[in-house]
Amino acid sequence: MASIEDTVLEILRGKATANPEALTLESPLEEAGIDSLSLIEIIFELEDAFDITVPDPSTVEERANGMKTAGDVVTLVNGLLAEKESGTAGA
Amino acid sequence: MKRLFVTGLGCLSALGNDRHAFAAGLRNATAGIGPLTAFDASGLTVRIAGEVRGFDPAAHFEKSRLGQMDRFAQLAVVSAREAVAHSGLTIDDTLAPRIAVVHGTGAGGQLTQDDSYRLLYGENAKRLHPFTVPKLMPSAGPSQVSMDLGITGPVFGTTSACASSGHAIAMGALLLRAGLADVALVGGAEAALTFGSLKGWESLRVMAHDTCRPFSQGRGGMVLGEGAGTLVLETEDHARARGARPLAELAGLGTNCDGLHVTAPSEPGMRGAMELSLADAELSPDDIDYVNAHGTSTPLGDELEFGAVKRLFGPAAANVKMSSTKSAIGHLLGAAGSAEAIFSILAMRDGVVPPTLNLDNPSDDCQGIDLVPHAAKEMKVRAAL
Repeated sequence: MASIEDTVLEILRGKATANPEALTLESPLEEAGIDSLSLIEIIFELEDAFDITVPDPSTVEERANGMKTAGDVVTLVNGLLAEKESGTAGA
Repeated sequence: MKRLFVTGLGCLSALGNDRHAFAAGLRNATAGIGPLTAFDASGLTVRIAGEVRGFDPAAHFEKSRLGQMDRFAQLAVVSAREAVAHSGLTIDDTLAPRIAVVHGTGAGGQLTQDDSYRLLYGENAKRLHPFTVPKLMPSAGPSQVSMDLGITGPVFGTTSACASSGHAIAMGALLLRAGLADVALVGGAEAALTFGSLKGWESLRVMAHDTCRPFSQGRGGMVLGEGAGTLVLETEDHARARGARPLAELAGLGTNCDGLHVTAPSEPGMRGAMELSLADAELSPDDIDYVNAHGTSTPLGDELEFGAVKRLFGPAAANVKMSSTKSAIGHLLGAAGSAEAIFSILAMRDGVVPPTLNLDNPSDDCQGIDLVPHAAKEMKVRAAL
């Protein structure tokens, strides 16, 4: 089974317009050519892939700061998966 | 008043996916209407259409862009690219803000809407794809054209059912006359061949089950088609300054509304629109050699339209040719006006009047005008309506 990191990277590489193969967990999403609209589509795919619900951030800053790099996306997914595991999702 | 020239054409329809296929199809009296293939039509009573065939979106667009575009917008952009290439225009930073895009559609992103509703109501999906709204909005056609070609002038859509792209041509012309732009990409796109859309059309009871036979005895109604058409309109000054060769002049336009009924046609309304166009162009019926009829093949619509032309033309009706090219490509709804304008321009350019297909016997209410049955006619066409 693919790891969470691998699945996240695969989804991000599918939307990256600049050098997608070179994308790593440290890569800033902006440099990979992932804009705000692509990010919305990425969230949609993450929800499908991991059966999670990514909540809307309450502020614009939160959205921008929460997903600067591929690693941030993995952290977000891990957090939501842990919530789901402990049954607190949506609480 | 400024003179306006057409300097480029682009189109996709059941006759093929560029203007050359359009022109050849007309000359050869090709029938584009056939069995529906895009989806399983066994649940429909209407199983024929004028489909755009062999269109591979991936050959025209990057994957990332494709995800944001409904089929109707894809067709709009491909037709606009062809028209601009045909015109020889180079869109640079100086010209970009002086170009308008006015593109019509009747239904907008019908495939996206159908798919979304199926997922939502049929499969209990909890959410829809984030691009659902950008894909299905009726203005997606002109928006995508402007982004694709880097155009920054006035850009908007028109929607008035089957007149949508006719209105787009008229609005683009008015922008040029008003000096708000030097070039206008005008036309329309439609891709509404979906199960849901056809179910709706079925219920209107205006659809033919065998084929489209405008003005004919026993005509059973219309056949839907899909496609797109774009014309490059330019002011005379702009076209001459860059040495462009005009394909035709847009001499005049007229627009009105019956103000009566949502589907029933009105003879005075149709006649009035033609009178306004002729007056604007300072032409009389004697100057017109070809009329491209709306000719949807509905019993009442054809009868009233035929009557309107006959009354307007008077004695000149004996000399004019009139055909309905919907018999070849079906009814393109919001793209119909653009496709038919292109047919008319090709008729003038090539000296070939396109035929009305499937017209074995004109009905009793359609006698006294040459409807160009079955085969194209070679002749000089000075002006078309």
